[in-house]
Amino acid sequence: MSVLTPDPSSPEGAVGVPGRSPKRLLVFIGVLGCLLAVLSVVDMFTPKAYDGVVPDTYSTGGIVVRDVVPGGAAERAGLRIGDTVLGIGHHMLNKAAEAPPELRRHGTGEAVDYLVRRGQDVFETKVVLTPFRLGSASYFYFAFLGLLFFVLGAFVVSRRADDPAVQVFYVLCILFMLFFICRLRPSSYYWIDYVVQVAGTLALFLLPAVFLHFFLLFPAKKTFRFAERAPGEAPAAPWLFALQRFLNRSPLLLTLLYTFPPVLYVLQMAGAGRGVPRRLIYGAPTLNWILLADYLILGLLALAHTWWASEDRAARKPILVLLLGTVAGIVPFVVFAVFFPSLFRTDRYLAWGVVPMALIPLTFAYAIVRFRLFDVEVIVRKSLVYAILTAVVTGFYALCVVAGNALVSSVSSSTLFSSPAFAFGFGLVVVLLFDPVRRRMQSVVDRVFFRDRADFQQALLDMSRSVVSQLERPKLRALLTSRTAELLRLESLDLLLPRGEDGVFTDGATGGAGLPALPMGAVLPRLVLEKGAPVRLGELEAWMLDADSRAFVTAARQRSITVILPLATHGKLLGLLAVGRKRSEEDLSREDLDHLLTIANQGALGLEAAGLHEELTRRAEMERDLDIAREIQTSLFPRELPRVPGVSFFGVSRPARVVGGDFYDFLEVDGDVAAGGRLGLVVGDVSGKSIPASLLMVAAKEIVYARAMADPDPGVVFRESNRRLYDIKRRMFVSLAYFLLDPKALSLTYAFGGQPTPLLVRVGANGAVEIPVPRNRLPLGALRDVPYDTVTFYLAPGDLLLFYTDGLNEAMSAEMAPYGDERLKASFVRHARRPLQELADELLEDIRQFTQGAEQYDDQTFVLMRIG
Amino acid sequence: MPFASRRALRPLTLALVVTGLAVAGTAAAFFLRTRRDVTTSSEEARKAYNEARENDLKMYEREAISGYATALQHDPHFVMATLRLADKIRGRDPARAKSLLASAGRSRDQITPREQLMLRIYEERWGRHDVATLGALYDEYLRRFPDDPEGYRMRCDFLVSQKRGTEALAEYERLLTVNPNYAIAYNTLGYASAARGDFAKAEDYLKRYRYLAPDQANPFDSLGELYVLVGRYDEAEDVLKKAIAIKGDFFPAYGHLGTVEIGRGNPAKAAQYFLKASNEATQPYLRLDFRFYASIALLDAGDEAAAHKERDRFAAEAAGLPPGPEAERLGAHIAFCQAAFLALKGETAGLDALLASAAASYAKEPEAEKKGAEQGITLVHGVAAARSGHCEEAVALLRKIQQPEGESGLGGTEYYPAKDFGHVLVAGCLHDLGRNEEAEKELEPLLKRNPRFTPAVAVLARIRAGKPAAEGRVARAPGAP
Repeated sequence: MSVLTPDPSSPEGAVGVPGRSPKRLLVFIGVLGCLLAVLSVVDMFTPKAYDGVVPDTYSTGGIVVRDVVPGGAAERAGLRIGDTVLGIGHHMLNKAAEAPPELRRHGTGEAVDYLVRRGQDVFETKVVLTPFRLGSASYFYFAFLGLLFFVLGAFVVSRRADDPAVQVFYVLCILFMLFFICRLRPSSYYWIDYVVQVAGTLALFLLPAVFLHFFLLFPAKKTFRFAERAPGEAPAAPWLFALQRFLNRSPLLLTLLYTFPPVLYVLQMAGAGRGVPRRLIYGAPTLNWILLADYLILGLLALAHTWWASEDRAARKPILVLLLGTVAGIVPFVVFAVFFPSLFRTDRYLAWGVVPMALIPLTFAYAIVRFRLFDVEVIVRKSLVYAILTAVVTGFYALCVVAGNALVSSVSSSTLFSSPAFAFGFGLVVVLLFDPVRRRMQSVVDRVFFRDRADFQQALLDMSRSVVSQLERPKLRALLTSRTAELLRLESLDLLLPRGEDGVFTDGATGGAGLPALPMGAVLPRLVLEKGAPVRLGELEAWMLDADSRAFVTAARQRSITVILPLATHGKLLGLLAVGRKRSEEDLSREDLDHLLTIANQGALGLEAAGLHEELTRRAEMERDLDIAREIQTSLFPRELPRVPGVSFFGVSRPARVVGGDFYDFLEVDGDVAAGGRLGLVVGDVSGKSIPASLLMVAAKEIVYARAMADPDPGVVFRESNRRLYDIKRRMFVSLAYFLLDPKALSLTYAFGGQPTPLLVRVGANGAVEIPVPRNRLPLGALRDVPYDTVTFYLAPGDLLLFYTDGLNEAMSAEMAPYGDERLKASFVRHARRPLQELADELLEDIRQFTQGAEQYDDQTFVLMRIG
Repeated sequence: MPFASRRALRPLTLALVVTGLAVAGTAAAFFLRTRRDVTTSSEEARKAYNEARENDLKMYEREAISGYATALQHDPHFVMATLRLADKIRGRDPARAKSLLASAGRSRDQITPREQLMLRIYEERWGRHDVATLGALYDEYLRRFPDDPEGYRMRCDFLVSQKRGTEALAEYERLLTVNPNYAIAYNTLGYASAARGDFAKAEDYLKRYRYLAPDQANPFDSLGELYVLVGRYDEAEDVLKKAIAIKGDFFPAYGHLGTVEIGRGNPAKAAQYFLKASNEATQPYLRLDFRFYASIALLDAGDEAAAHKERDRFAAEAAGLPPGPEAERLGAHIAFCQAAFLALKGETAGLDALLASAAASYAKEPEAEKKGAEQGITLVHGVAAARSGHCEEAVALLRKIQQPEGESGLGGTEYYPAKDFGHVLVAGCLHDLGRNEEAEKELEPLLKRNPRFTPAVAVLARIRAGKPAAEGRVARAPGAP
């Protein structure tokens, strides 16, 4: 059973859950740290009064001279290695740490009385203090390390100030800076020394605690589980549970962690005040150093455990880099800077412990750049290139100078390479070559440092393209959810789309596993649409939500949803994205949210494109249907007009859309009409258009024909055909008229089923009249049983009849005025004397003129018959 | 969760606050303790007291007394100033000293615990003087105030008075670990080292002392005394004159210059320095001693008239004192000095009477002082015997008192090298007795320490030359008493 495991629960404590950012405190700490560091550096590099003695730090009973600075004050005063300085400025000294306060009282050029013992001889000598910059190369190195830490911490906190782990990391960096710059420095004998040494000592006390705290938080918080047992095992002791609860729950733990070092220090100093002997290393009690080492080791163990317990392969790599770098930095420090001085009372190997500490900021920097640690956006990309470029150019310049000088000096004493002309020429070359080299360098840097990022961005770009080009909704949904979640390493990502006519957004999950349906009219979608940006779930608490939205938010929180994004185009909300936590438990970074918003926008476009595609597909299908229907309809009209002696016909059908519902046809009932057989004329109009109408028309025609062959009585035909059509298609009916012409008897027997009454123009008569109508004339298929009756009307030579559908008299003008029966009659009468085809054209022309090109919603079909 | 709450930085802030409070509290306590070192209502009194303390540690008696008195003028209820002043004047005015002590006791409830304890120590020291109680009080003082150097110093003095010199030295070493700049401790350690024959260490200590107090006369004087002891007379004269240059009325330096001249074999010049020292000395005892030294130096120089004149003057020292134990004690000392004077002259008439008078007075003193007095009487008898030609008796008597001090004491200042002269007298007597080898051996340790001690060198030369003692001046070397 593991002792420490990342805690997936407790959202309040989760890493990455943003809390109230203590930005002011962070800024204050940073400014204070910088001020102290600057003070220290200025102090170190400002000339001070110095005696030139290099003391043995651990000597007591006086300061044993380990070395004298060549040419320094001590050497000029005759001090030698091995001498013991007993007193400075008439104050006795017991150890080296007591010298600074004494020297601080004197200025440069002042002759200070030193009491020195050399062998058995004790003598006084005057040492004339000389100006000296205490800041050595090693201190410069420490200052550089400190600056490196500060830049690192400031950079990270500037990107993610709300993350507690980052805040602690930032403080850790500040403390490292103070430790390096303010603690690992020689005494300067000035007031600044007090201030910065105290700051350095405070840093020394707090640093290990912050170090440990950071690695308990980073990269995910830890939870102790040592008291937990597998099922079947004996339960742990109650005190173990209590301890575990204390370690996991009590805020006192961190307080103890932080206050223990200063309290230990105070206790030791108090003990020293009572005469209890104590040992100091660099001015701090040995116990504090040992405690420091313990904390550092615990921090390393925590980091090692994080690496060991991490199941995310992508996360393990940077953690391993950090672990190795930190171990390589900390272990030598613990050995050479803590244990060696403690055990062997020597600081000769201090540099061996301190120099490797540079690995800590360097590995963090490497991890940040290479693995995007802390999700820091790599704004250093350009900087890195320019830095490398500058180094390359500088090195190249130096190489050129050295090589050039070597070359020229071998043949002459020319100073070409030391002349300004060379520098100018070199500068010109650099300017000319800079951009090409930079581009090449950028690609190298990208390959080395940003390959993952480039791969990620390429994957994101590919996915964005796929989203826009994907026209199938299921595939689009998969892209927007599974693929995006995989790319951004999210625990979950749900896409909520409108469901049919319900007016709700749903995630399409079944069985209640997903999020609840969210009405499209609820407050939440509206507000998310208005914001047009990612909305963190926490922000919603401040909104006045309705019950549906609240229920949705509650369910979303239970599913660890953290952010909701709108998918919208042109102000229309097409869907919602519900984003879960990252698998690393880190907070979604600004970059993540930007990516998600981009994907959401692309997704909205994809959804819109998919909708358009569906519409176009539907229309294409309709077109195809219409083509089929047109073919069917065309096949229903007679290919040629019947040839009946003494009777002439002409038929016209002009469909309102591509396919009309009207039809007419002739059928020979008694055999060859040319031989005097009767001729049937059917004129019909089917409700509805397109293929169903056409099919119904076909059906109606076939039924009527079949009945007509069996029993020519139109009334009978209609009664039986009506029943059949009723059974075929409900709520769809056929307006039909069936006329049976007997050329021998010049009679017209007929039945109507909803059709307009034909018009008759008789020679000598004034105007057009309607032929007699049957009593029952309901459309066929409207009711099951209709007693259609048959009417017979006798014709006279010269009679002209117009059989028509309602598309003629109900043709609509642009002002939606119907053409009307009267206009039709008038037109019919006016052109009655014309041949049938011309008559038909004139009738249509009159209608066209009336309608003025307005779109017609009904077919215009008619048949002209003239006797004689 | 403690590790990742939004209050992640709160523990850090809390730690800073705790540390700040601890530092502030320590500073405040330190400040308050500094302010409450002594209890007085007057800043002027405090200032005068502090200056007096500094002068006290410099062994500037007069200035110290004046400073304590000034402090009391500003604040009559200043307990520590009262105690210090009482301590200073106790020798010359014990009655007033007791009065001051009683006065300090009346303010017991208004002073700090440290002052209260100090008051109890003074009361015990001057009252019952119960050794066990005193020891316990010193222990308590050190336990409660381990940083106060005076606690160590008082305890050291106590240990010395109990002849526990080694413990006293260890105490001083501890004192220096507490405060390596407590100058006067080096002085004591220097003397103690010299008394134990470790002159290099003594010089080390005394140079540290001088280094720490280069503006004081005493460090130079102490170093000069050490140089005298080892025969580095020129260096001694140099540093002693520096002491006088620092403080013109610093009588010990005059006294030690006299010692230098004795060692050089210039008794007349020595007498001048002794007289100067006598004139500058503040205590009657010291004035008397220096005049006595001057008288015997003059005697040695052959100026008997001047010697007698000075003898008469020191005999009058007790006249100024009010009747009482102190005057009685001083009278006994005068008698002793007069007896020594006679002995050095080789006169025995009246000698026993004087010594008996002195012994009677010392019989009332504590055992240690009584023992010291007995040794002094023996010495005088020995000198008288030597000067009167009773060499066997002289050798026996003088060897009796030549027992080494051992580890019991911490050494002390000596203006007239009486012990060294004792060895010279013994050597002279042995030579007169024909025991030359023994005589040389007698001088060997002395000359090993101080090869330039002229009286000893002269006797040794005479021994080696095989010359008998000069007529009428038996066993007397040039410059020797």
